Amino acid sequence: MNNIKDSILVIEDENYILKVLDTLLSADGYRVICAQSASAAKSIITSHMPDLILLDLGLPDMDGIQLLKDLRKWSKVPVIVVSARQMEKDKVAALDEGADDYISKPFSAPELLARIRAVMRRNSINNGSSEKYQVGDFLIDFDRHVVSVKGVPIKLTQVEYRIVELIARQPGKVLTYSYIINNIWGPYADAENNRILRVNMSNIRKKIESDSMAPKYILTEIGVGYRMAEQ
Amino acid sequence: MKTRFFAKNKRTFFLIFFFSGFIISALTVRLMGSMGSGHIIILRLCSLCLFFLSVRQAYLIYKDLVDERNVNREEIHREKLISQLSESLLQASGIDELYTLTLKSIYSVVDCPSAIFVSDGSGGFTRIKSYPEGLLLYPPDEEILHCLKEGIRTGRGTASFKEKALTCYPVKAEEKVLAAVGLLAGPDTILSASRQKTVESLLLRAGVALERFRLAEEQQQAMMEKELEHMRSDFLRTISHDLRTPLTGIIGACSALEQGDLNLTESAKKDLVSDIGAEAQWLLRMVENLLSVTRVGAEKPILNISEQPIEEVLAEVLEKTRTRFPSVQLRIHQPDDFLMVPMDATLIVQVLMNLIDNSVKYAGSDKPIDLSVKDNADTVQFSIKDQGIGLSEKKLRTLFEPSAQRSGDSSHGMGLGLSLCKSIITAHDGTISGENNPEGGAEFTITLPKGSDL
Repeated sequence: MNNIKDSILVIEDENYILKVLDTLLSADGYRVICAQSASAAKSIITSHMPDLILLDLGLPDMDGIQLLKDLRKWSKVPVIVVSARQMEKDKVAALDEGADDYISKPFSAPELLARIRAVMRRNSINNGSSEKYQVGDFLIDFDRHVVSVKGVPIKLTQVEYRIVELIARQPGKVLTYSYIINNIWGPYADAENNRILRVNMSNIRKKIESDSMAPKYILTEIGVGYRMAEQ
Repeated sequence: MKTRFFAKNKRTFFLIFFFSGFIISALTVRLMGSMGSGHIIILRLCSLCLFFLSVRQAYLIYKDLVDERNVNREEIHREKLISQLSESLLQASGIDELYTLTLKSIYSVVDCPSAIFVSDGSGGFTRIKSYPEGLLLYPPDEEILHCLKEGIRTGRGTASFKEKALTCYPVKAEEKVLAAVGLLAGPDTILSASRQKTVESLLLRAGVALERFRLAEEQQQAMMEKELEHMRSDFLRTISHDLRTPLTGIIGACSALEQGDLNLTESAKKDLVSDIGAEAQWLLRMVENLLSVTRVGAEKPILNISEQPIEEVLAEVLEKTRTRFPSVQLRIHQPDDFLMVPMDATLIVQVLMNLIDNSVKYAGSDKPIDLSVKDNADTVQFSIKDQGIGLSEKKLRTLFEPSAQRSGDSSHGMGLGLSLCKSIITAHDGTISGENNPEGGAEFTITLPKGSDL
């Protein structure tokens, strides 16, 4: 599959899950390195320089978020955070600390592999350099500031366009409410009160989605943020 | 020294002075003829002096009587206050009211502001209440701790910490210190002994009442614990039963696949694997429900409340329903206006999914399920309506109770699901109810407060 195998560091303290992940990822052509604690992971990151890290937040010796924080001070290696369900706060914290994506336990094999591929792909292309982004019938032209669906241009307000552009620049990545608000309304906006973002999103969906109850282009990660659909 | 001696035996000296004056003046009259005028004058002066002393003595006696009457009056007033307090303490509905009553009566007796403190159990203390309310006291410290610890009077006018502004009185019941009351007298006044006595007897009454409340509370706590224990074992029985059913299926399927000599066809194998997957999915939902129970079932529910647009919540429910029950038709009705409601989104979605789950399983109909949202003035109302067979009388009665009596029930998990829904909605300060729709089918209604600042 891959000529030069991409290496994945799996940081997970459960032996059984580690075994399953190792089997699964090796079968898909990745070189898998395992670490069962944060301290082991730290030395492996510096010695092996993995291409991607799969980080479980519940580690025995250190808070996973802290490990991510330390890592982001010097490295941009893509990180996918693995967390238990129902822990939006952890997810939001991980994304705000620079995680590239998260996946909730338990997950299926195809889901995990798809996420890994998407993160790898996003990191290999230089963000923001492309002029257009298209998914399904949705097209955004970053140069001309135009959004169209099925070739029909959509009239968006200035703020609405900037929200769509921000999300479309990083397709597949979940952008947290506070990230979007900071980028659109500036660092002094009240990120706790995200009503203004929610209202704008409601209006955007009415304009671009055929059924806003089942959005196809801008997806909701409830309690966390929004994500642009990928091809 | 001399005056005190005279003051002590006022009546005796009055008599001595009066009679000796009387005798001397009588003698003077008798001896008028036989004595020189110089002697007579001396005797007259003597008797006058004695009369004057006896009048002074009489005045002192009179003053004493007045004082006594005043003391009596004050005592009567005090008795009245104390009995008034005792009476109202009996009627107090809670400890808080009891504190207020005590401080108020102290204020009316000694006319100085006060506050009540209790030990916080870790070497410090907390201020519970003051009267007049919102009263700012000097930063009080050691005198209160000492009073709480030793059960003696401390602070101003006492032996310990007399430089402090507060005078602290312990509130005791059977030698146990329950609280301390700090009195803030004016800068120059020190309470008179009789007033101190009043305060002390007021606090004695308060102590008794406080102890009574504490005992009642303890008793109630014990009863609640017993109830909780009962619920817990009920709950565990339900869960073990509910967990065992899918596990039996999974283990059975696995063992069938492991045995090579069964000669299963490829499609049979595939069926077994997908059965395992379905049962495992069910177990996962069950575990998620259990996790939520631990979050909302605790004394202080851990909710992650934030304002959520109704349309996003409904979209999430719709998507989940489509993946979980591809053949089920869920119709969504919502107000046109953009609407946000404070909630823990994951938990509310879980509640709605549990209700849809129930409708799919128990309605016995493949007609559409309706999920509607209505914007009331202060609340938002969700209702889930199916067109199935409805709820039986028996089910209606115990709808939201975790029931262990359903062993043998073919479709597992309903008991926990609905009781969890109730806990989640209650933790949101909302309401949930279930009934039969007059047009047929079951209908569950949830309301959530809009302006809630949980």
